[in-house]
Amino acid sequence: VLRPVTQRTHETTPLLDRVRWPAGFVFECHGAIIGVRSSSRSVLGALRRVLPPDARISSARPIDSHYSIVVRHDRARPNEPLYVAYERRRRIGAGRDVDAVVATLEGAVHLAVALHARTMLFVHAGVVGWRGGAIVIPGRTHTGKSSLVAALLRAGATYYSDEYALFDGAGRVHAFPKSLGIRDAGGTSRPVSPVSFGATTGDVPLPLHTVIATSYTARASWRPVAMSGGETVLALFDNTVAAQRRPADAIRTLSIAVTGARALRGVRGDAARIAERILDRCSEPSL
Amino acid sequence: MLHPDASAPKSRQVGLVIEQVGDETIVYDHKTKQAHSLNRTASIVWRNCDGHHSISQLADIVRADTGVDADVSIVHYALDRLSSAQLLEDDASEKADGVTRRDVLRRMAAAGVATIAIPAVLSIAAPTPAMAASGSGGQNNQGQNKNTQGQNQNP
Repeated sequence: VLRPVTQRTHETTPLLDRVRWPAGFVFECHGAIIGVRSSSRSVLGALRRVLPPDARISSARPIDSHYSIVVRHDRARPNEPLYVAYERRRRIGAGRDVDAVVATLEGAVHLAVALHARTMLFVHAGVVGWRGGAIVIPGRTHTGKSSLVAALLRAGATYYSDEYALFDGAGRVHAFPKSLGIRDAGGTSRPVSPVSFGATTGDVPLPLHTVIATSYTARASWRPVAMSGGETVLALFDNTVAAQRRPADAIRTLSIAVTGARALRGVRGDAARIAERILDRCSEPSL
Repeated sequence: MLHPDASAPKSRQVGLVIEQVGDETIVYDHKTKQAHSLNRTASIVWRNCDGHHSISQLADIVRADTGVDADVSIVHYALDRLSSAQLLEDDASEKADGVTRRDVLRRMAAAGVATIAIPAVLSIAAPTPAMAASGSGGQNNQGQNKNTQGQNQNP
C-alpha cells in the first residue's frame, strides 16, 4: 500500500547520490526524453510497465526528467523489501507492494511525457473513435471519463485513450491506448483491457468530431447544451498538461482542432444510459 | 454616462497569443497566464480598439458588422468585460460608468435585439500540469476551471 501523500513525500534526499543503479533505461516518446532506473535488477521487469504507448528505448540526451525506485531491505522484514519511488530527487511514493509503487511511478512518468512532449499536445481526456472522427471527453480525474469511455466502447466505439488525447499540429487526434483505469466500488483504479468491452483499439489519427465536456452527477439527466468554438478551445486548454509551458502552441493547435467540430457540455448520470445517445448524435455529419 | 465620443480605447497587443476560431477570438495572456474567449461582438469591439475609434464609432462598427441595432451601451459593456480581462491598455471599466449586463439586456430587449449579440468574455487560468492531470484546482461541474474574470455568457 502506498504511503499517502504527506509533507514528507516532498522531501529531497541526499541518499540518492550514494545509490548504485544497476538497472535502468532511457526512452523517447513524442519527443520527451525520460530516464527510469532502479537500485535493484529485480524490479527491471516491473519498471518496463511504466513505458507509455509509442515509447522506444533511446540513447538521446539530455533527458527531460528521470524516475527512480530504490529497493531497501531492513532486518526486521528481510523478505519484504520497501520500494521507494522518486521523481528526480522528490519522493513520490513508497510501499512493500511493488506493483502499487510502479503504478504510482507510471502515472508520474506519463505526466512527464505529457509535459515534455514536443511533437504532440497532451490533453487530459478520454478518447474514442466513431465513424472516422474522434470523440474527446476532457476532464480531470474523478469526473467519470473512464466510465463514459467504457460505456461508449460497449456501444461500439473504437478505443483511443482514457487518459490523454494527443493532438498533432494539424489538430488530428492520436491514440494513447494504455489499459483503461476502471475504479471499483472502493474507488481503487484497476487496469482493464478495451478487449473486455468488445472494443478494438484505433491506430489511425482522426479529425476531432465532438467534444463532450461533462462530469458524473448521481441521478442527473443528460441535457447538454452546445458550446461555441471558443468555449471548446477553453474546455480543452483547461485540461492541457503543457498549458503553461507551451501556451502558444496549445492555443494554436486547439484552435485548428476545433474547426469543424461540435461540442456539448452538461452534467450526466449513468454513462450506460447516454452512450448510445452520444453516438447517435455523433453520427450526424460534422459541421 | 461618459460622452460617446470622449474616449478612444486601445486594445493590448503585447504579450498576447491571438487566434481566430470562426467569429470568436481566443487570446492567451502571458502576463496573467489566462486564456480568454471573446464572442463575436466582443471580438469586433476589441479588434477595433485601436486608440482612434471613439465609442460611438465602435458602436457604428458593431452595427455594420452584426446587423444588430447596437448603441453605445453595448460598447461600454464590451469595454467593461475586456477591461476586466486586462485586454485594454487603459482601464476602460471606470469610464463605462457601470453599465451592467442587465442594463444592456434591457436596452437590447427594448430594441428587439437577440441576446446572442451581447459581448461576452470567457476566461480561465492556464492549469498547472498537476491540475490538468488530476482532480485538484477549482472546477465547475464540467471539469473546467472556474473563471477568474467577469465571465458573462448568454442565457
